[in-house]
Amino acid sequence: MVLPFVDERKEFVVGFRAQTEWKWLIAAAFFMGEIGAGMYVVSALNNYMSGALVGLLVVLVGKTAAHLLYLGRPERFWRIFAKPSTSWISRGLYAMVIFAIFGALYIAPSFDAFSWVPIDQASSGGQAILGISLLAAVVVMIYDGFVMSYSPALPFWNTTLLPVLFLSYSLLGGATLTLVMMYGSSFSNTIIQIVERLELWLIIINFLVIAVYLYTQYYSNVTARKSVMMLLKEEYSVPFIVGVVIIGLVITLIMALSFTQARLGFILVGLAISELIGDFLLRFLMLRVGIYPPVVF
Amino acid sequence: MVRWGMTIDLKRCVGCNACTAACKAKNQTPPGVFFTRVLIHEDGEYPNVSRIFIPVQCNHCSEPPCVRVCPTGASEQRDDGIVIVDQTKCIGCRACYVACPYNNRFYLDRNFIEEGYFPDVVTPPEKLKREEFPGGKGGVVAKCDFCYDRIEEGRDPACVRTCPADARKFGDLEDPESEVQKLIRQRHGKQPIPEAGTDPSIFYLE
Repeated sequence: MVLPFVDERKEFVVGFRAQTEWKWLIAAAFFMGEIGAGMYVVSALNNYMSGALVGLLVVLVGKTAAHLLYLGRPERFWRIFAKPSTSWISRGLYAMVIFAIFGALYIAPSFDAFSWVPIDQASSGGQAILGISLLAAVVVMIYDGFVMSYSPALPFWNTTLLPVLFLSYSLLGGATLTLVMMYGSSFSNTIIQIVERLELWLIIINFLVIAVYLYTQYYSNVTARKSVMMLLKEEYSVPFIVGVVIIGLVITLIMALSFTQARLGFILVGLAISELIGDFLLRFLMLRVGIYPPVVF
Repeated sequence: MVRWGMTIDLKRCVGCNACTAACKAKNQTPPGVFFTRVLIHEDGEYPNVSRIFIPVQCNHCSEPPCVRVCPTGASEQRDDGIVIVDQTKCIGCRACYVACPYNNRFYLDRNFIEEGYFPDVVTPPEKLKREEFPGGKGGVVAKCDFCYDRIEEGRDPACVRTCPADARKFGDLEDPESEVQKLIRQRHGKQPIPEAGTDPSIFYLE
């Protein structure tokens, strides 16, 4: 039995249905939240406070703004705090608040304007604050994956690999932006080398995670297979193969390897642009290929 | 404890969409919003082709993913199993909409109050219903509520009451002597998309 792909609210015909509510604005919110948190983690672990600050701001300003623009009733956003017991959106907001408070507390003493903050980053108290902020940042990176995978409605999303995929992409985006900022501020060569290596490994890991994700979903059920086919052969094959795989991973890898040989600014800019294109497109396309199974008996 | 449910007899349904119209009349939903609708499914190849009509609506699942994902508690399940949306709490994040495996939730735009079925005019019944709407100016999610106001008055939901082919039956799933339970047992009622594990309260009879 071959079922059509329909918008059954218009056609009243049984078939596969696309998820149509979460589109580019939600993709932008996920993208900014994840790369911002990734940037904070990579920067803070390398003791690069300017990068950590930018990461924190990307999450707090970018992600929050995109979410508020999307909400039907943004003035009621505070109600999101109500259900952390079952809702990942609610848990994510708590994580963002904890991330904002502890992240700001940890990096504040590094800046002259906030040198009065009585926290010694090297002390055990400072390290505890760092630990909490890093943990909250990791939750910010992965909770979008849990928001999507929590419901069985869309089989392509309903897998624990989704938070893993988002985590690895968050770290890659974070490492890329950190590298760009470090290069611009003529940071220590040794630290730049560490981030470079991290970048290379993350590109390879992302490639593997995407491959495993598509392979497992292709063999999981008919609806998830349809989503995989949309990415590989049907309407979203060009943005996926060209944007996510070729630009986002292959060209990024070539640029990253080139940058290790010749530390040239334009290579780094090209690396950042290609990586961010792939990073955003991945999230956008994951939302676009969410498909509901048909109601048949 | 009561658990309200419904059976839909696919052999009886003639695809007249009277249920769709009755639901529209009762809820005065704007264009494009159908709390219940009848899908057409054609199977087979010429000359052996069959056509069946599948009425769909919120299934008031006993394990509703829409309630679980809602961050504000706006989507809730009553003690009688009916899943409702409290539009005064809804923030319009549409997590419930996306999480419903049956795609039976609807988002009402902020300007839905001005959207009528006739160009440039909102009819008095539409206006009256929109003014009563608890979500006020929209920007919230809405769905079938099994006409719980009618149930509390001892009446069947509008779609059940209006079905000319008597394809829909409504009753208590917890009562083994109820008509719906008997039909489910006798006709091996099937739940839609059972692999989602949501335990819907609507059973289809073939």
